[in-house]
Amino acid sequence: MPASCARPLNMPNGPDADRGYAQPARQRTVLIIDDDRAIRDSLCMALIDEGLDCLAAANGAEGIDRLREADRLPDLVMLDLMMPVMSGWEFRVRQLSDPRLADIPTLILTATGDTAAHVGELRAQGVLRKPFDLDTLLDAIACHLPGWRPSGG
Amino acid sequence: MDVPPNHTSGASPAPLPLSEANARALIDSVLDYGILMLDRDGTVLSWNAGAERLLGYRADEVIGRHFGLFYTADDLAAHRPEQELRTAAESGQFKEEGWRVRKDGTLFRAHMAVTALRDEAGELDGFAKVTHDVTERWQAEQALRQSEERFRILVEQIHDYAIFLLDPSGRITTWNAGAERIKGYQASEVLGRHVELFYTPEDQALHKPLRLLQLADRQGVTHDIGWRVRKDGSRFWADVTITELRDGNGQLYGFAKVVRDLTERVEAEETARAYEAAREAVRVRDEFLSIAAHELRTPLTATLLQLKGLERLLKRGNGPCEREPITTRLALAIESGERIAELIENLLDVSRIATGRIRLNLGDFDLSDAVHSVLARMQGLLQDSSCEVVQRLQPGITGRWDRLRLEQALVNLLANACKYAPQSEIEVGLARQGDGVRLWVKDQGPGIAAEHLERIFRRFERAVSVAHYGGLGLGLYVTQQIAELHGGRIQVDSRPGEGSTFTILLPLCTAETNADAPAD
Repeated sequence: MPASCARPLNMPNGPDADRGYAQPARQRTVLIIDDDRAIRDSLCMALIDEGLDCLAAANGAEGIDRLREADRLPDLVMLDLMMPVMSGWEFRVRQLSDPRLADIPTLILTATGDTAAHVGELRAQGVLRKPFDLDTLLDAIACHLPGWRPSGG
Repeated sequence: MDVPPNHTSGASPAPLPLSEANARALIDSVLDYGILMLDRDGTVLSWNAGAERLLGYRADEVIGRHFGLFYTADDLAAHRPEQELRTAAESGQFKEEGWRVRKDGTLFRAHMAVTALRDEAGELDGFAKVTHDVTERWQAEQALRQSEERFRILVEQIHDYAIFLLDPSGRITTWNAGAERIKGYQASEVLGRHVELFYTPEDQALHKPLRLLQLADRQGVTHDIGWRVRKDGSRFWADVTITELRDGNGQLYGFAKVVRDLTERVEAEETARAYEAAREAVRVRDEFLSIAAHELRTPLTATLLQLKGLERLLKRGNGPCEREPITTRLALAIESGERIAELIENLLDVSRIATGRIRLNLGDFDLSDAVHSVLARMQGLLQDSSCEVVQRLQPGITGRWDRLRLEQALVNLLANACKYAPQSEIEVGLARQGDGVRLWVKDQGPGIAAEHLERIFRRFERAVSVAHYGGLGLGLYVTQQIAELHGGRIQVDSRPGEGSTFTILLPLCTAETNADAPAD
């Protein structure tokens, strides 16, 4: 997925431009939904280092709460699948059935199963298999955040 | 029919004061038997009403004609009538059953007796012939014979069952193809031999063959499943039915024995069972491997994210790196690395238990100390899951156990409670009970349905969907093993909606050093 994704830098007036996401100066926010605290913490740290804002939730239900209570919706959701209380699958169903939330690009982070099947089944923008490489993750994020690019490393 | 010896001829009988009229009246009154007199050559001399009814001729139509009139063409060609008279003349009487022809050409089955009549001098004077229609009886017998024949052929042809008959003493009287196939003997090798031939020496010593026949005699039928011996000495697992055979008077005249060889079926069933068990084991192992991979990937992901983030931070290298973000990342990477190590240790525990290589390292300690140190270590997890711990610890319970293993067991129970019953109160208790000690963890979680209670202590099992709860599914298994290695056990009391209580029961093994510990 990231490999086939044109870098947003090269397409400043890409398909998302008219949705208002492509404002170069705007602060971007990513919602991380994962039941593992170490994953949430390390992802948040890495993304903050790259100049992104982070929201975190420990399961699907908390994720829905974060989205509903947000003044400004996150620009991207990173979603684990196997979680207590509410799984990633159920979260996705709730998200897609809410018109306000359905269009937020969502990347699946999973340690199990057939990644291609997950994309189709969950109508997600991409799937990353744990353990994933940070560079690959940042590339994938850049695909869905037009105008943003990693600060380099 | 007795004919007076001096009654020489039907046509011109000697005048006898009584018999003539009486005998004729008697003979004429008989309707079911054809009674006729023949002269020496077979010419019909007299004809009664029975004969007329039987053969269709009136007296005037047959008197004076040769009795060969009533025989079939084949019998005539074979000179049967003449032979019969000759035999009767030689031996006094001739009896036979055969086909005879009526006037209208139809055949009937006749039973007849021909008696030679001799005069006072002993000279042959003629013959008395009594004929009876036995067609119906013959047909019934024939039908029965055919039915028996068909049945016999059927039984003989059956290959899957040994079916044979025994006389009342247990000697073999019939043998079919199935018996030959299953037992390996030809009919000629077993007919007349005693059925104990097929029993094992052990069964023979116990008089089993005789006992089974006696049982069949008493109950009408008896079943047995057991080993029997083939001709080549090999054994087979047999399903045997013995049925008593009694005649119309209730007299025992033998036994019918039906034997089925179950060996193949038993072997097939065993193979199928073993195959199913192996398949299930492989399925469980595959599932476990995928869960284990998932569980290892999570801390591995965190570790790599920290290290990679660190690398990017250092590469960006705008001036001297700040210490704080670096040390934080390193600490987190190490923490995740330790989680991986712990997971691997758990996996190895399972392998150690499975191969019996787990050894207890016994030492004397106060159990409440161990509980306190576990609670201190788990403070982070307990806070993360918003669980509050209530302690009900009886102090001063000292004994000889493996402290690290018991702490591990308690960690497993507490971790489960945090996982399945977050945001609630967890009670940790410790008390003397009889000769032993009770250590329990009581949660207020969703509880466990009765149908899962037995399953949860098995390797790689959990009562809930993997989609919601990670973990290796090993905690309770390992905990149970630890309890059992100490000579104790684990038990669970749980009902859906009412939380769960896991209790480890340990024997209180005290060394001499704490022999003066307070007793109950």
